[in-house]
Amino acid sequence: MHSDASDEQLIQLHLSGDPRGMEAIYERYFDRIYRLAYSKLRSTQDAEDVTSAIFLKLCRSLDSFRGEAKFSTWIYTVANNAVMDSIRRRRPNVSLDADLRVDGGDSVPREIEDDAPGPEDHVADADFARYVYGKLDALPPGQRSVIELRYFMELSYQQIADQLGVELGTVKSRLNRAIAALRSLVSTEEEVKASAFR
Amino acid sequence: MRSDEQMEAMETGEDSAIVRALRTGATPAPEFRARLKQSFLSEAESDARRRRAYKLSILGLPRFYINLAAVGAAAALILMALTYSVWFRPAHTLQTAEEQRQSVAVTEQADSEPHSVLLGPRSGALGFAPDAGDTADAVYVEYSTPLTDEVRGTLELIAAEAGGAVELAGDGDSAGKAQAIVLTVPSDVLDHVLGRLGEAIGAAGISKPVHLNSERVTVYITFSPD
Repeated sequence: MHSDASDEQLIQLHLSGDPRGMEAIYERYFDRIYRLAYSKLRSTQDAEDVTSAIFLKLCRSLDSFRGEAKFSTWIYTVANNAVMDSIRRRRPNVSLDADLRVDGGDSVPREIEDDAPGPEDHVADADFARYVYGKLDALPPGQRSVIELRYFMELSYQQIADQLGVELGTVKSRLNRAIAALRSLVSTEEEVKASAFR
Repeated sequence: MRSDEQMEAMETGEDSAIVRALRTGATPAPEFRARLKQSFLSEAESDARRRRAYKLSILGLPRFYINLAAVGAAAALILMALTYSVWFRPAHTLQTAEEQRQSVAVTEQADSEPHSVLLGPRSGALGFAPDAGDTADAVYVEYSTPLTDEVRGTLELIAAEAGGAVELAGDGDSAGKAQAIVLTVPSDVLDHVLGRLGEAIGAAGISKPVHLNSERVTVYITFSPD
């Protein structure tokens, strides 16, 4: 019904008292927000919690949306902040790299149980995707931002350039480097294996 | 023929399996999507209703101005309540009632002008209330008979009955010069006092009182034998 309307038109519709605008916003942004949350939290439960919190607070947060930026970039910022808050809340006080202290004052190396799938596990698309998501942390922040804005928030190159305040060419080259870096992190063999199952 | 989008995707390497994994890797559960949608739409409906109500206004004015006016009115009421004693207090008088009454009586004696400009509210009042604080309503009674001891005794009796006081004002004598008696009585018994004067001394010319809503009334009785 409102699928052709721009985000800003949908928001104005809601601000004028018509809730139908927000239904279209939900359909448009639910997957994007969830992907962004999952990429950073890598826990289905946590991603659902954060996504719920973002959407349930979205209507009231609209008062802070002045229309100076595009809604897509505004909601990206809102979602990013919510995810970072969630990460801060759940982060333990001790470093995961620190050794464990045992009785008697001795310390032993911490063995961290990693439930993320390893290369040998990702034989299906979902597993391979999770494996790729797991490699995002290894990217420099600038490259990661471009990945998030392009593939999770589904912004155009120009919108990404506007959001990051860089040239269009910079966005393309940064995206290219990011994908190349991910490709090198994920072994070519595994990628081929995953493609074979597709 | 490749589209520009496809060409761009090839340039940036967006056609790889990695990109497909990024685009489709995290798929939310359909139950979660439906459950959250229901909650979200309920929240959106509630928020939209709130915004509609906020936009509604009295007299077509934006709600903001109505709220502003309400706050302003409340502030004004509070301010008036706090400064009530200033705004509704009569002006501070420099003379006591007794001093003023004496002054008026003496002035009247020396002056044959009508008693029309006596005891009005004085200038310098701070608020809206009449200047009744230290002054009193005044009634003027004129007799064309001399002031005898008998009449004076009668006046003292009437004043005593009314809970007031009587005193001689001026230096007149019975040899043709006007004499004045000042009677101060509570305002709620004024009619009774005037009635008693008529009964005891006789009919006289009575001027209307200047209404200041004072608790006490000063009755100026002048005896001017022809």
